Amino acid sequence: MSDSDFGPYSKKVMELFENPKNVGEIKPADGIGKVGNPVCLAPNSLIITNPSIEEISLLKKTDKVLGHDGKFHKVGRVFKRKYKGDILTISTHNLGKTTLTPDHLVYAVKIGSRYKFTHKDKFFPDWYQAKDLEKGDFILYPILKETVDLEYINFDVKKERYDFKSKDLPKKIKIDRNFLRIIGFYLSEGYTRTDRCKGTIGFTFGSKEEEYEKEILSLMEKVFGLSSGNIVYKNNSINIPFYSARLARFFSDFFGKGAEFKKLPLWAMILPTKKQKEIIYSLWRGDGYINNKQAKFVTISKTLAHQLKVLLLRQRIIFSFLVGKAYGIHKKYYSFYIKDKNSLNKLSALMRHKFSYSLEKKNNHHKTWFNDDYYLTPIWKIEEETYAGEVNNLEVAVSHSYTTGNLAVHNCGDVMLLTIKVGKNGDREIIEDIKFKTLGCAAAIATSSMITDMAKGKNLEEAYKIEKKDVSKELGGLPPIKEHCSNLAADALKKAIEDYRSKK
Amino acid sequence: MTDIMKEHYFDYAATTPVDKEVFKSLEPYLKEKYGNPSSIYSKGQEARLAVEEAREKIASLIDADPEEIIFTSCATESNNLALKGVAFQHELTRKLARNNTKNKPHIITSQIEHHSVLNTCKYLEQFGHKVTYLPVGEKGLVQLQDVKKAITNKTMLVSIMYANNEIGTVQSVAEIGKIIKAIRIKRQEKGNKTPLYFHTDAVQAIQYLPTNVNKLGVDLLSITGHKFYAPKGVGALYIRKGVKFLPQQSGGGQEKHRRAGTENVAGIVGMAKALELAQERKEKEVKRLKNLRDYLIEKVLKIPGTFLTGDREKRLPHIASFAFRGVEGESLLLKLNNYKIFASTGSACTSDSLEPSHVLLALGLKHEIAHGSLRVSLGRHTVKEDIDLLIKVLPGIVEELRKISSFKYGATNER
Repeated sequence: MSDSDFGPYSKKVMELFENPKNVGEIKPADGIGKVGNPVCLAPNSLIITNPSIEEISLLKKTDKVLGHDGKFHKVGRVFKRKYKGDILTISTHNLGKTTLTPDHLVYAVKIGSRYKFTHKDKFFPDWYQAKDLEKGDFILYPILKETVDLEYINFDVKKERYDFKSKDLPKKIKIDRNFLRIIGFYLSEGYTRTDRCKGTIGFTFGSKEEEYEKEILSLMEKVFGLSSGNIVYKNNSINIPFYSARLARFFSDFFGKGAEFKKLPLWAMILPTKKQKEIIYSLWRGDGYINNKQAKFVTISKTLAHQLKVLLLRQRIIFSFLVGKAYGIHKKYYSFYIKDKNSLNKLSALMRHKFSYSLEKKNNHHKTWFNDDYYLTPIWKIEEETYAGEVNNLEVAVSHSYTTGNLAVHNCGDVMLLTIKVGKNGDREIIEDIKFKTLGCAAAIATSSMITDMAKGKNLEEAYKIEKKDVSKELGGLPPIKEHCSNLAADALKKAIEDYRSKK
Repeated sequence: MTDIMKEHYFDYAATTPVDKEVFKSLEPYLKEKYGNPSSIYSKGQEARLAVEEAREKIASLIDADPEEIIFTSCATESNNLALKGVAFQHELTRKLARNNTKNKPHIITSQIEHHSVLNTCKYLEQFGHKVTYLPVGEKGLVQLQDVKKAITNKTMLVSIMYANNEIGTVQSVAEIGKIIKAIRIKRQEKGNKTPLYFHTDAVQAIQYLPTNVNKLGVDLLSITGHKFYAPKGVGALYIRKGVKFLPQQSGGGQEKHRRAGTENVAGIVGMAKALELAQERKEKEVKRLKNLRDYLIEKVLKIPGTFLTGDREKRLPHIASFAFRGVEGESLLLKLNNYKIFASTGSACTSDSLEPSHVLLALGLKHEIAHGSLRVSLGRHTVKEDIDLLIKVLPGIVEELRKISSFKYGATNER
């Protein structure tokens, strides 16, 4: 047995594996090509952050995002690049959809439509490329795991100099059932008006909701020692204002101003689930209903909608989440339907709602379920379209993953790194220098070494045309299962050139 | 790197060379004593006698009755026979229709079993059998309370491997045996007629760990010859008397109608001899290998960015398994191959599926770390010089590959 006869590789592969050329990284590089689990969501993809949601293109370094382990992690780097090619939109039952490049890695269990999940505590989740997923595969959506049981929140809104109207308020507020219920009511029915020294926080209910009127009056009295100003009954509604500029500012800072921008602060998102029940309780009473068939909740705040998603998943309540087009000034509304029997029972317990007769049997027909860390729900549609434009990705510390509205996806990969330096030869641009680094098998090292050699000195157009089969041919062939490795090297080169061109 | 270089074999967990004495004992059955044990003339009976003697020998080594031993072709077959045999027999006695998914028997196993168990379980799931795959945590140990919790009234079989082939972790099989015994007694009192059997895959463990089936409390136990210096192509399954099972191979009446097919006489003779030798040398060999293994582990862990996979203490004497950050396993093997050092990895790049080993993933290792795994398994012919060479060349290779690597490995040993 000679030294190069190892496994399935040709002599040339082994030669380059033993003595790879062009290893390293050019700094600063004119173009960088990275592959592995390579990247990229459409720029308007929503990412679950700490504490709310943000479009991926607006995220910055040091923002925190939700990893697939259910915890928040820092964004290390943000990437964007131009992309032209196919793009996939994956829709999952109940959660929504995300648009991403076909090679992006998604946390999922491969089932396909062939099998049924017969046993729910057995499965082998893994990262799959989006293009390998199909209808019926289950995705694992992380449930927020961080919990901090905050007891008090400081009320540190300053009293303005000419503010004579605001009453004295407690210095710190106990985060108890009463306060949390006020939050829920504020999110669903509250409004604020803030001027410098005049300000109002108020609640508007339907004329038949006198029960709520009584409740909010007693809650505000208990927590803040405030009593209402003029309660106005008109146009089938009840308006209950409380005059306090400081409190109004406090609420608009923490919980958003205007129905479209209502939100929860971080400390409320990570309260223990028992306490969060109180927020959901009054929130749902304001903007939702529950009856024997279903429960429904509607909001026009995008942030609040996605936050409620996180909260409901923490309560292990299964819902379907829909985005609808609204007429008038609001462009979209977000609604939650709960029809699954178990989830309805959970919600009714939380709502102290007694069903007038026993529940109709309606089990969750999409067969979604929870385990300790994840919500599992099947993919129901994957659409493919061509796309040209910017795509984005993140590098996330620790978990190396982040969460969109319906998927946990892997962050950008470092399996292969190719850097190029571009020079001039007459009026043509040539690859003056090229270097690679890879965490890969022998084939990956050999193909990288090969392609760097092939590309060096070539002009950009020619280098861009190097295909994976050219590389594998030069190497005297690769075992079929390893063809993807040479794929990586060729992809990385193309990306490096694209990167260079996009910077020009 | 010349051709006269000595080979350093570090893959005894994959297979072993045939022992000289073993070969001597089985050789006649390949040459002059070639009769078929099923033939009634004396040439046939001579072979039959050899098979029965081998059966007795193996039985006595594990404290079983000769009738309780069935010879098979390998451990994969033994595991298949154990799981499918018991599960389908249960179906048959209960007269359950194949498509009736209610009331199907329940099986418990762990996430780090050998593929021959895991895939058999998946196969059974297609027939509606329910399987619980117990998690193992980062040390690769099955927790006793998990086993207890997972057993339901319908549970019929628990299959936990004695020791893992990739990370060498040894499970508390005897304790699990006790739990199962206790539950069995409870069931009798309650009148629950569902049987509860305990199967263990003892392929890696048989030659180094206690193997008294009664003390372990197992009802089925799989072994294969080529892991303890017998030839490939022969294995055995211990089935306790009274365990009802459905043969999975139809044909002649060999093995008392429990496993059809002409016996691999030479293999069987060799396996019995090899097991006998292994038992004789057990005490000394375990001590020797443990010393070598600990020496190896101590030295290798000095390489920065390296850690041990599996439990440090509850570990087979001959398996040391590592993970190196920022290094890919196949490249590592190739570089070691240059020194004629032969070891193995759980890296995806050497598997057909391009997926890292399920065992390493079950420990909670990240993909990129599972990629950098190395299993070093020792055996009868391993000497300290072999290990010294490995220790000498390994740091350089790791460093060399890290220079090419795009992953920053960091010098911490954190996972």
